[in-house]
Amino acid sequence: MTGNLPQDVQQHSSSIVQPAAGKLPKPASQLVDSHSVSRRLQSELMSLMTCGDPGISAFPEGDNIFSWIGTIKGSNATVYEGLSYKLTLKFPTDYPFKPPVVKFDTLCFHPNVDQFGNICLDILQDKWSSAYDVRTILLSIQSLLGEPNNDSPLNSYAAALWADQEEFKKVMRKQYRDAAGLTR
Amino acid sequence: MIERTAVRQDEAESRSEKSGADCVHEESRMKHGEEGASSQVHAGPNPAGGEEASAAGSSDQGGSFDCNICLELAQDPVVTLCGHLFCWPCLYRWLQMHSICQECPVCKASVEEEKVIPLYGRGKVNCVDPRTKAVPGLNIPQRPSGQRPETARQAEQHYHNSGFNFMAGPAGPAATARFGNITLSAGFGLFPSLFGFQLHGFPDTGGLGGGPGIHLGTAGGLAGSHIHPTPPTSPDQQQEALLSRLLLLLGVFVIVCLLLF
Ligand SMILES: [Zn+2]
Ligand SMILES: [Zn+2]
Repeated sequence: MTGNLPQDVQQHSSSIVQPAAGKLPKPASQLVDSHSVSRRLQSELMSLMTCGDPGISAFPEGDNIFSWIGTIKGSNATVYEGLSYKLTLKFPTDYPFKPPVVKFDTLCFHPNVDQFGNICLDILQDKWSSAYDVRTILLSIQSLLGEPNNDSPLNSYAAALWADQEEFKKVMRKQYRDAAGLTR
Repeated sequence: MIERTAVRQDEAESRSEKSGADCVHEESRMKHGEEGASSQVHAGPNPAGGEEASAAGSSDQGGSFDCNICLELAQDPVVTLCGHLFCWPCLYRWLQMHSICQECPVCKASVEEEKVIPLYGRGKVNCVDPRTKAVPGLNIPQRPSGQRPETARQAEQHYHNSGFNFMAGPAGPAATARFGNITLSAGFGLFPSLFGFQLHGFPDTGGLGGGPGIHLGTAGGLAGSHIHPTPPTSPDQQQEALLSRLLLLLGVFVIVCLLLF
């Protein structure tokens, strides 16, 4: 043991105690300056553009870096193969400490997606981690399409139909076409 | 409810398990996919070109020293026990926001503020106190300081002070005996039938350099002995050397007896 070590430890522990007294999470806007948030989003955009993952893409909507439009293509060997879905991603000002709000913009017939496009996915709620990014979000939604969790459905009709893949595909494709015809 | 999360690192994880009971547990599957996928990130060509080098440079070069939260070169870097690198302010904010269940953002291992290891590079160490940085509303404490294990030399002294030691090494058992200033060490290697004795006598007065060295090697019953006496320079040393040799021979005899019977 060196002589000054206990001193260091004491200093350290006292500095830890101080913030721990007010350990309640503080209001979001106070925590992170928007400049560092937009820097992180810029950096994510850059890596998304350079890595070129097949089947996913995302880009800021207009000038607002806090609002993105994402696209997911259905994976091969799933009923969603060949279909393309648009999503919106809204980033809070304390991103990445809080997850973005992600919704399907294209109507998506899926056990874990409701009629408004809300997605039930743990990593977008309580299992969020600031190490996740747009890319990992889109990749996991892409894999969710082919592997739904039918035990806690938002769309119980889709969940019940999932067992019959042929029928599911027919209903899902019809809805997809109808929605596309409706919007275009 | 299907539990997809197969990899569990700590019990804190299971505590928080119930809260997300309504949703798809994508978490761990994504983690695994990420490992494979992240290698592709840097494989592709970089159409951004040189102008972006300063902004994206860190991620293009592998980003080994990028913070896992802000994705930039870590400022006031700290490393968790699970080995993940963060800026101290970034990690501190994350832990503050998840004070109920403090875990590593990357691998979900539990993280204790006190056990975070600061990294002191050669550059501007403690140049800027993190607390002085303008983060309105949040007082980020100073990085936890490093812990210093006992220096190696101090630890060794315990060994030198005791007269007789048995040490078991990873390659095989090794016995070391110390009589005064004479060391007897017998090492048994990977082959039990092959063992050798090494005997060194160090005279007190002559320092470490001038002592006579005697090496007796026996291999599988065929004994070959090598004796390398270094001519001593003074009568004192000669006496020392003679005494050493006598003690050595005695020691060898004892060891051989112990081995044979
Ligand atoms: Zn950081
Ligand atoms: Zn970790």
